[in-house]
Amino acid sequence: MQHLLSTIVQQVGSIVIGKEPQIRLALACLFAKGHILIEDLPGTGKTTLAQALSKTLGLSYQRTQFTSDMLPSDVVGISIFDTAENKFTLHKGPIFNQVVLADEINRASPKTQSALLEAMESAQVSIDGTTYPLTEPFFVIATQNPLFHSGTYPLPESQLDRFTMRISLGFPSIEAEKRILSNSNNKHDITNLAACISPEQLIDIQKSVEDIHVSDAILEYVIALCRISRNGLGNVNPLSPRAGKALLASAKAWAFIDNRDHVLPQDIQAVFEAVCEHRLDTSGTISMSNEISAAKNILQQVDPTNPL
Amino acid sequence: MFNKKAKNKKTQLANTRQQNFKLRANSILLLIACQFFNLITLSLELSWWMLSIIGICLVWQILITKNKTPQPSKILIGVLSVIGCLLLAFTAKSLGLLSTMLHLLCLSYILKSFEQNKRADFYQIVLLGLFVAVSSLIFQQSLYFSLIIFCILIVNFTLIIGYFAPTKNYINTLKLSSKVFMQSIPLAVFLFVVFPKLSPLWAVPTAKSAKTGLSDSVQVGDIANLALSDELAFRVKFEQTVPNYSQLYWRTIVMENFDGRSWKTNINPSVIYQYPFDQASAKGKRVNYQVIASPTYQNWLFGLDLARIDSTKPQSTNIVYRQDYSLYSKKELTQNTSYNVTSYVEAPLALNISQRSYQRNLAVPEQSNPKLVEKAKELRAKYQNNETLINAVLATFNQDTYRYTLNPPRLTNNSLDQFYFETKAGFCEHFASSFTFLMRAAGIPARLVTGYMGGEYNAQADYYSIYQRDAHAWSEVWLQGKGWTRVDPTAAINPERVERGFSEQLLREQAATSENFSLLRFSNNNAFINSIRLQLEAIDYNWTRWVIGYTADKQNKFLQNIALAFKSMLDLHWLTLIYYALVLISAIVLWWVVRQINQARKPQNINYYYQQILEHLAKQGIQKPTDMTPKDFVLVIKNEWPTLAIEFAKFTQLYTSLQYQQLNEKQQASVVKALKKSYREIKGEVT
Repeated sequence: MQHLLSTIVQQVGSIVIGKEPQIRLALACLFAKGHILIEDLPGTGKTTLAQALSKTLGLSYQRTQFTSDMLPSDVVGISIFDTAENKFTLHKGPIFNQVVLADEINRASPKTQSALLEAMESAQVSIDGTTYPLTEPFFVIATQNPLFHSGTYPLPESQLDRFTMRISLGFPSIEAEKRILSNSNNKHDITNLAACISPEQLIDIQKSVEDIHVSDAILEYVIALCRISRNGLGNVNPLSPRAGKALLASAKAWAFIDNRDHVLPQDIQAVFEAVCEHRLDTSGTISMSNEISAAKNILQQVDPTNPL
Repeated sequence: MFNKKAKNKKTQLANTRQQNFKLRANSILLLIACQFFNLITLSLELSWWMLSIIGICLVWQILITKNKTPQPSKILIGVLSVIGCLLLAFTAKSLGLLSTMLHLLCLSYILKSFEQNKRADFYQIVLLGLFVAVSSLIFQQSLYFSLIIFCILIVNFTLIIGYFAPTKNYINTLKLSSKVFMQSIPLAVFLFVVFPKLSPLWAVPTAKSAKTGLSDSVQVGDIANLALSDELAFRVKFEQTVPNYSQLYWRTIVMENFDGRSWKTNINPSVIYQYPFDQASAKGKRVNYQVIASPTYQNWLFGLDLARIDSTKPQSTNIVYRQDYSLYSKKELTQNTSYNVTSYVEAPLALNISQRSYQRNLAVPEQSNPKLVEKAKELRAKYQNNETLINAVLATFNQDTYRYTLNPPRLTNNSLDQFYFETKAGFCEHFASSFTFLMRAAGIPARLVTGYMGGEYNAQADYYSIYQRDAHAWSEVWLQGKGWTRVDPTAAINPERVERGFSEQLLREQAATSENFSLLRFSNNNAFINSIRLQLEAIDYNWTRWVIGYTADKQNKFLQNIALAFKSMLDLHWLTLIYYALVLISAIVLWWVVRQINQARKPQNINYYYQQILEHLAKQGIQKPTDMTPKDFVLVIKNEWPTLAIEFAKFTQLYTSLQYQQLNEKQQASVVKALKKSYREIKGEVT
């Protein structure tokens, strides 16, 4: 299994060069049955990462470019009256894929955004009064431009909360950028990627992630982290129990990727910023300055060996 | 900046955790009950305002439990305690030091119970309660009272056990605490017997209380009042020979001064004379006995004539002889006091007396009781011989219509004339007093002696109990060639009193006059109840003798007796040394055991070990950054303290597997063991 995991990381890494930590986080999010929000400037490889992930994991995949004139039916699908058969037939939208890449989600209107996010929460969609379950595994990768860009509708807190993680890719290092620039046939590489695992294997992995042991000490650590955010200091949104659950699930997946059957404090710390930053600080986007992030600030205040 | 914030947050977290302490409802009720019981043992010693504060606080607490009133604020409690302390400061002088401290203890105990924010507060309340309950033993040490205290202690234990092992069924908890109590008895007995009673440290403070028993002045009617009481005055155990009942005159106070109304002792009580024992007179038949006197808060002691203190006993240094052959303790009798006496029952007292003494015992105040003075002159003219005169007076008492009664008619101005010629009814002091007066007026030196007459024999434990109702007054006349001779006019009027004790008629009178119920009085009519009473008294006697009377001297003697077995091998000084060494060793062993128990308790919180090591490392200058995981800290140690790194890595590995991994019980036990071992090694290296 470890071999398989490293192959996945390697393969995705060959496409998204020099971003191994982010790839691992994205994998962890996927294993924890969560959805991911990738936020960064255009052209930093958000879409490439989403594509490479779904290809490598062998999942059905559709990309939807969100625009300001999009309607909810463009996401979930629509029933159209078929004159030949004299009845309504459903034309499924992109949401019925295993991996949905919602590109530039914050450019769509809030109405359309919420159609997608509802599906994310309940793993099912309702069209004309009929409920359709979504395929499993179901994984939404949304990308968004930083909020200071023109033509964006910021996602409200309640909907940001649906994303287990928010990661940012950032600019590549000099070495990585050299390789990106020298590689002329990137698109071809992605379409030629072979699947490393089957969807069934992925579901198995998700199940074994759930079985990872979480001790009381870890629970106390998670609770202490959440409580610090709730005492009203430092101008952050308090972390909800849902945030705590997401943190725990991600840490389990992280431990799984690290080939352990139990969660350690470092697992929590590794995923904490990705899981919690967008819940804590909804005012803006990932900080570009050198200022310490709200999540890091909270981490620094809790001793993992003596949390409460 | 962040550090400060972090600190604040830490303390906030800590506070919220501590404020969560709350006793369960039935524990609270039991706590209130405990407070009630603990304080009620002291109720006789506390002043009324203290009792009312306690009452209010208890009711208040019940109301809080029933959610009828809110928890009082800290300020209110502060104000209450200040008021209490002020009241104490005002009354401290009249209360005395011990009582003031006791009031303070009770005040803090009752007010502390409003402050139960932490577990430590609960512990404090329980400890204070135990202290309060046990401190009542300063005032009373009788067997029955001690038994009550033991029961109250068991209730307190139930509270503690109920707190740690919550249950709905308090009967089981009560059973458990009784069991624990019983199990602790052997240890308690052992400590009681061998634990050194180092005087300044272990001494029980002496209580100041109302004086009981005979007093140093007597008016007619005083002893009759005293005789209504069934309280125990003292107990006597004779060694071999027991004198006749009619010889049991326990001399206590001798009164030589008469002012026309009351008799007073001639000796200034503030000066203690060390008068030598009258060696010359001490001849003839002897009786040996031990007296165990109940606390009277006075200095008088009791003895048969002619009493000699056994000077080989250590307590004899506290006792002095007085010129009038009475015994006097240098210290007030604040607790049960025992002493050994040899009495020369046939020895004459003072064959020669000084002129001053002679004159003093002839003094009759002018203008007092003129009719008696007249009568005396008449008698003197009639009888030349002193002894015939005495017999004539006694014969008058016997043959005339004199009545011996506990309820004598009141006399105006304590006039002996009125008694002798008109009412003709009185108790022993009426007869003794008027007889002595007559003798003095007739020119025979005479004085009044008060004390006790007789005693009740307890066959169960072979001793005599002398009660306050046995208080008695008689006369002594000084006769040439015979010295001071006891003349008891009561014997003339009511011979039964001096041969067997209280007669049926006196008992009826006693019952009619005094409403107080006592087993002693109740049992007079019923042989069965009487035998039970005597059994109980025998137990109480043994309790007083062996438990209360187990003083530091007795302890020394007991241990010396044990030591005697080894005496052939070792010198006694060595033995004392070894004894104290043994005490020291057992203290160390006890400390070690407690430590072991504590350590055995700790594995429930594995984190303790890790945090201890972190603390030690911090003292050495290696501080773990707050958010650093144990795994990363190993790397820090590797850099900072390479020699410790391997062991620390192992320790951290064990710690993390215990903290975060899923282990079965067996694995857990072995890891805990390894962790403790590693902990000790690191601790050895770090400190």
